[in-house]
Amino acid sequence: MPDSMKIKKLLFATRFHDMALNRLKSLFPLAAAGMEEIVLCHIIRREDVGFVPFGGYMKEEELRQRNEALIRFEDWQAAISAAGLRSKSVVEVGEAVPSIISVLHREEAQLMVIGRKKAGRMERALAGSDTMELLRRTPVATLVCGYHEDGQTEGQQEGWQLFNLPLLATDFSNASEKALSFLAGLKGAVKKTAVVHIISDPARYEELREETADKLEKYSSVLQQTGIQADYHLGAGESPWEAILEKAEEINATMIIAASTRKDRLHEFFLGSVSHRLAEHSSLPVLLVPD
Amino acid sequence: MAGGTSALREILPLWSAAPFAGMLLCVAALPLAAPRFWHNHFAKVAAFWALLALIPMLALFGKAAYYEFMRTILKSYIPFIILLGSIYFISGGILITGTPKATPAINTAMLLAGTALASVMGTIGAAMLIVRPLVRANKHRKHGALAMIFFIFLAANVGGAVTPLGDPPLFLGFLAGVPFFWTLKVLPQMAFATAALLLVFFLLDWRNHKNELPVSGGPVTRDTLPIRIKGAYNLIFILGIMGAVLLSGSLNIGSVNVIGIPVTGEALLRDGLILVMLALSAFFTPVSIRDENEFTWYPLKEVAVLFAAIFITMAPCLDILSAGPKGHLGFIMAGLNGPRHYFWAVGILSSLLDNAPAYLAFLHSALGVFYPGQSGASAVSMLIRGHPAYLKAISAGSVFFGAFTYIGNAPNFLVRSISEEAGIDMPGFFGYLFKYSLPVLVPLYLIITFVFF
Repeated sequence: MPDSMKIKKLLFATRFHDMALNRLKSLFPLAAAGMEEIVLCHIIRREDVGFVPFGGYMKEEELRQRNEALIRFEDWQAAISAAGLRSKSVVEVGEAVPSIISVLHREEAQLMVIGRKKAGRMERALAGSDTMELLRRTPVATLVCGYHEDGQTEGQQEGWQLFNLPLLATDFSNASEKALSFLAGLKGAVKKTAVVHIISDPARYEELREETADKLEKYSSVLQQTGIQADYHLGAGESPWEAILEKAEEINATMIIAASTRKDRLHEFFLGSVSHRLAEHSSLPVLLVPD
Repeated sequence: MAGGTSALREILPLWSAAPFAGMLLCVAALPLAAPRFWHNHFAKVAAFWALLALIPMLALFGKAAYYEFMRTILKSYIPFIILLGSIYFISGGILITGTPKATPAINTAMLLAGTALASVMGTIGAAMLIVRPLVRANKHRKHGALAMIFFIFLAANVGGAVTPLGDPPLFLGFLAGVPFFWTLKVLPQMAFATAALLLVFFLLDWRNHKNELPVSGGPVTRDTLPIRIKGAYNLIFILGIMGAVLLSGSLNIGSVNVIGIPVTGEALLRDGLILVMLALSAFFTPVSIRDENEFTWYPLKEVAVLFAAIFITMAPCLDILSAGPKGHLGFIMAGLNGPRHYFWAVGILSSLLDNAPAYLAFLHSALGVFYPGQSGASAVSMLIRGHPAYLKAISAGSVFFGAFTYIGNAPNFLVRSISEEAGIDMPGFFGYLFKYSLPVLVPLYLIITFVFF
C-alpha cells in the first residue's frame, strides 16, 4: 500500500449554498488528522458580470459580489479560527472549473471540497456540470456534497458527523489502494470505517466470495494497523454504484470514499464511471481519490 | 412564412409581424433600460415573443403554419447555430500568447490581421483570437481604447464581408441561395473601408502615441514578450468547415424527411461535417488552451436563445415582405428606391438591432419588389442576375453597419467586455456612438455609397 496521504491544506470552493457553512464546519475534525489550513474560494462567474450588450463589463457588480463574498468569508474565517485552523479567502472572476483548478494548483491544497448542484437529466446529457468537469480534471482528492432527490441535503445539517463512519468502496485496483492510503491518512478524524466491495456479476458471487473476502480482510487490517476500526462488507449487483449506495444506506455510512480513474468525457459517456455515478447520484458526501 | 404559399403571404395580417417587432424592440431597448433584468431574463423574454408568434399562427393556419415554422428552424436556425457555434469553439482552441509592443505600426498590423482572418474564421472567431494580445499590448496605454474600438470596426465587422463564413447575415444569405463565392463581389467595398479605417486609426494612434504620457510611470510602450501560437492546427478544422460549406453548395444529393420536413442531403452532410470538425478540435486541443483563452459558451448560449426567438417571430414578417407591394408591408418597399437606400436602411436596422435579421428582412424586401410572391433559391438567383447591386448593398450594409453600436454584432460587446475587464477604459454606449462611430463611420459609408452604389 502506498504511504498514507496527509492533508495539510484544504480548498473549500463555494457558491454560498444555504448549508455551506454547516458543510464547512463538518470538516473541522480533519484538524485531528493534521489539517492546518482551509482556503475558502468563491469564483464569480464571468457571465454574471461581463458580456452585457449595453453594460459591457459591470465593474460595480463585480465589486459588489466580491465584497459580499469577502464579508461572508470573514464570518467563516472566524469559525475556522475558533477551530484552531488557519484560513485564507480567494475571490476571483472567471470560468468556474479552470479558475478553481488554477487556485488549487496555486495553493497546493491536498483536498478540495465542492458542492453539487442538482442537474436534470437533459442538462447532464447536454452540458454536464461544473462538478463533473471538476472531477474529471482535479489532480487531488475531492469531496462532493450531493443532494437528495427531494432536494434535501445530507452531510450538511448542523452537527453532521461527516467522519463518523466513512464507507470505502474498493475494486482492489491500484487506484483503490491509493484511496485506502488516503483513508488511512485520515486517522485522528476517522475512528471507524467500513470497507465494501461489490461483485458485479451476481451469478459468480459464491465462486468469488472467499477470495474477495480475503482481500477485504487485508484492506481492513491495513486500516486497523493505523488505528482505524474497520469492518468489511461484500455485496453483489450488476450496477456497482447502485449497490454501493444501498450498502451505504444499510450500514448508516456518513460518507463514501472511492477511487477515481481519470476518464475523458467520451469514455465516461459511453462506458460510464462508477465513481462519477456515485458523485452524481449519492445523497451522501462522496470523496473521490484520483489515481 | 419564408417560402410559404403566395396566397398565404398576401393574406397574412400585419399583426403577425408584431411579435418580431416586439422581440427586436426588446433586443434594442431592454439591455439599455434594464441591463440586469435583461442579462438574467432574456431567455424568458425571447420565449414570450416566440410563443406569441407561434400560438395564434398555429391556431389560425394549423399544419401550414407548423410546416413553415419547422422549416425555418430546420433549414435556417439549426445550420446557423451549428456553423456559428463550431467556428466559435474551434477558434477558442487557438491561443496567442505573448505581449506585442503597442506601437501604431504593430497595432495597425494586428487590426489588419484580425480583418483578414474575419472572412476565414468569422468575425467572432477572429475577434476572440486577436482580442487578448491586443488588450495585453494596449492596456497600459492612456488611449488604449482606440485600438479596441477600431478592432470592433474592422475585425468584428467589416472584415467579415467577403465570405458566408465571415458574418452571420452572409451565411443566412448562403442558406437562402446566394453562391459561396458571390460575396467576394463585396471585396472592393470591404478593401476600401479597411484601408480607410486602418489609415485613420494609424494617424490617430500615431498622434496619441507621440503625446501620451505613461499611465503609471513606466514607458508608454511596455517591454514585450514574444508572440507564440498554440493550437494553430485548429485552422485546419476551420478550413474543413469552409470545405463543408463549399461542398454543400456544389452537390445535389436529394432530400430526406426530418419530422415531415424535406431537408436536402447536402445540407445534412454539411452540418454533419461541421460537427465532425468541432469534435476533432475538441479531441485534439488540450483543455488548457481553452482555459487560457478563457473560453466560455455563454455568449453563444445568448445568441442561440435570442436567435431561436428571432427566427420564429421573423417568419411571418419575411413572408409579408416577400409578398411585395401586395403584402401589408408594401409601404416599406415603396420608400426604398435603389441600392443606396437599401445600403442605409439595412445598415441602420443592423446597427440598432442585429445584422442577421436585418439582412434577411431586406433581402426579402428586395425579392418582394422585383419578384413579388416568389422566394427561395430561384428568386435569389434571379435577383443576383437581374439586380446584383441590391444584394451587394444589402450584404455590405448589414455587415459594415454592425460596427455602429455595441449591439450591432455579437463580437462587439465581447470585445468591449474583455477590454474593460482588463482595465481599458472603453467608452459607454453613447460615447462609442457619438465619439467614434458617427464621426468615423458615417463619412466613410457616405463615400462608399457614392463611389460604389
